[in-house]
Amino acid sequence: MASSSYSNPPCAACKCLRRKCMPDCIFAPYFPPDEPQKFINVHKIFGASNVSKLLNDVPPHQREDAVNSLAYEAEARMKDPVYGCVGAISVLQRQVMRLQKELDATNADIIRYAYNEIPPPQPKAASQYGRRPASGHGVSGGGSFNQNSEFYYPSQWNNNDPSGDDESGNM
Amino acid sequence: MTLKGGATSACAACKYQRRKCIPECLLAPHFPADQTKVFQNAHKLFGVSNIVKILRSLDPSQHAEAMRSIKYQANVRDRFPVYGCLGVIRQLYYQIQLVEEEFHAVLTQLEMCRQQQQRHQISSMADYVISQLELDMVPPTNALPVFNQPYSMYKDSPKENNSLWIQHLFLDTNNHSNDSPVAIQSQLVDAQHEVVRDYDEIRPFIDDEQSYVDSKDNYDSAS
Repeated sequence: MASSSYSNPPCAACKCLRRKCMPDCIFAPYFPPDEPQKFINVHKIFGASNVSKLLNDVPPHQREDAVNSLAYEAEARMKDPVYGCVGAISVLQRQVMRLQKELDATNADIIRYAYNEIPPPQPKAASQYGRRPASGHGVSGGGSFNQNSEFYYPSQWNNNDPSGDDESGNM
Repeated sequence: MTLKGGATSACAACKYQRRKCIPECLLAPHFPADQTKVFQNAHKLFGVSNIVKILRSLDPSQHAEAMRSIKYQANVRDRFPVYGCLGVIRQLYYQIQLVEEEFHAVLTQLEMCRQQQQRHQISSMADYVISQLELDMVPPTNALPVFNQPYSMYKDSPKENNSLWIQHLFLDTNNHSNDSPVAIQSQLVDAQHEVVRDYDEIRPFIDDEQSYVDSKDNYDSAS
């Protein structure tokens, strides 16, 4: 690999792929040479060509976020080849459900006091928080628990699945 | 592509790759022919060879679960090309934070309700006892008793026992061990410890307070 004395050192991707790191290398801004493991993980799980195509589909100002999320998912998949980062989603989803249940029970206690003789005090009312909408970034309130699996997969993919595939995401 | 004899059609993976779908095809059970979009998402993110590599590194009994998570991850990435599953995780963290804040506020309000009720009960009984004491000191009237409590129970009791009875009432209303705020909060702490144990295995790159760019520091310390 020829390099002039003033050229930048090859990025971690080109070093791993043993190729010349061109000035317009799409990986160079996001895989610096001092973080080799980051690209190694991403390449091992997703493949360099897939990552390159994904980055090309994303606006430049969002590519760093995209790379970081891919790096996170790749590391999670390497540590847990069966569930990857989906295991973390499952745990968090269960925690949200558990907390919501406890909140509902406590709200029911408040209502019981409200119907007693004593009127409850008037601090900052809990109603200002309201119900947390179980929507947002792909997480919906419903979920399907697969009897064959001890993991709980949120069924967000079923809600607005443009493809119409039945099985997609519902696990 | 239909096999000769028309027995079964090729799976979505083999159809996409325009090759013969053999009976031993690893992907056939997980990518039926009618789920081309799901396969395309998985292929776009992982690639067929990487999926097969993952499956071959696992026990066959784990293939189904692994494929579920791969398909889910690919579908989320298709829907959210920038953040993928990490965005879902971040949203869940945020949800948990909101629910916990609301929960603490409601617990505080519940405790205030309980205290107010206790004070009301104590003052009611104190008023009752005082009224009884006053009845002993003033000529009897035709006034009806204020409370429909067991009047006769305390009418003839010694005055010293009245204060003990009030104290007993106060202590008794505190002994709701099943739904006390301390019990509920200890369950919440246990739940947090459970999450911490799980997340010792997978260190998230981001938390609610950091930007994705800042999370690079976390990655550096992880690598």
